[in-house]
Amino acid sequence: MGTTDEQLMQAYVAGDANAHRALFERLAPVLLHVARRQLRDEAEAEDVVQRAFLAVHRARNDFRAGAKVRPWVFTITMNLVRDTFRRRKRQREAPLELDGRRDPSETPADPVERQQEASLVHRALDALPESQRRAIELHWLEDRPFSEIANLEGASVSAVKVRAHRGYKRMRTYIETEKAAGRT
Amino acid sequence: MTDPLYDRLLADIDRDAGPRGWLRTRSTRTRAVAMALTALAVSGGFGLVKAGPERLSAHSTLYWVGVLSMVATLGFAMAAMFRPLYLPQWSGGARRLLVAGIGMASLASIAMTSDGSLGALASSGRCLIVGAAIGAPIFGLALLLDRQPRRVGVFRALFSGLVGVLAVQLVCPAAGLVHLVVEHFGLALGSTALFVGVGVALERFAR
Repeated sequence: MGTTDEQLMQAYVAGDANAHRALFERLAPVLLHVARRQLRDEAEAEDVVQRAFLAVHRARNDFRAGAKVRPWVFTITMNLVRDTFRRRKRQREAPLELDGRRDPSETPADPVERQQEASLVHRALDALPESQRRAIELHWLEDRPFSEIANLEGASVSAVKVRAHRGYKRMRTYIETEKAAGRT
Repeated sequence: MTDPLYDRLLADIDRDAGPRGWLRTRSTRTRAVAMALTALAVSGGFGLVKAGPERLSAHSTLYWVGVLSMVATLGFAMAAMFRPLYLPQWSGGARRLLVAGIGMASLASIAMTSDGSLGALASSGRCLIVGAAIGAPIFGLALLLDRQPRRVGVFRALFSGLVGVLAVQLVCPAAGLVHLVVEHFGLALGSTALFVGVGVALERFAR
């Protein structure tokens, strides 16, 4: 049985530099993936992860035994992602590759068609209000359970479910409208 | 891929290693207690020295209710200022609502210390200058204790400004409503704007 994140964190708080490195190596790739997905910019994603770990370093004395490390670090990262968005003060523009975890039944066989479909889905996602988009991205693209999303967002599970449900509904309407108008 | 990133992180941590870094890595509770005690010592000490216990004890109950509600308002501003990054952030609307709430609560607290008369403006700008001068070192300490010092920090600015207001409230002999609203609440607004301006400058400098 390997060392848990929590054991590594406690060792790090106690001053173990190796535990810090191990924790970074374990969590940084996951956080980078999330930050890249949200920001769609490699340099900004790396900057966010760097700042997140610096924030973890500064807040390490707040970490309580029994608490879970991942939601703690993930919330810091998400807050920094939001700060970055606020700083940018503009909508994301860069196109995004489709994630492999999508429902294969909805994926067309033709690569060109698939690319168009991906672009349409992402436009639909971009058109959502921020809270709905976050709920969908975390649930659909990151495969996170609603209970964890609720924890990260500081909302109830039912509120997060409602946001996701409304978001999916809006996306469906958007996609249908765009398809009907021939804008794929 | 993560190695250069780790090296950059270590460089950040090294840069953070001085007394400021030590302060920032204290637990949220420790930093909050230190900030609260300093704020109360500065404003209360200033009030005690300048007004004297005799004049302070002559105030009405309503006056002290006003002072206590200002202390409670400061508590809210401080809790917002020290809200850790590992808790979900408030939305922009919630933050604006909280800022407005703190502003309204401070206005009500200031008004409660009035003697019931409108009074004259009695303005020499002294309350503004003294209040801002007391708020400035508090703002400096708040910057030192802040784990994200390079941000606009509206709550940090509000808290620092209101500490200056509390000190002035304890000392200022003018108790007419006009003076209190124009000068003391004006101090709250002005010093908050000033400290927000410093926060904006720091944030731009960091970019």
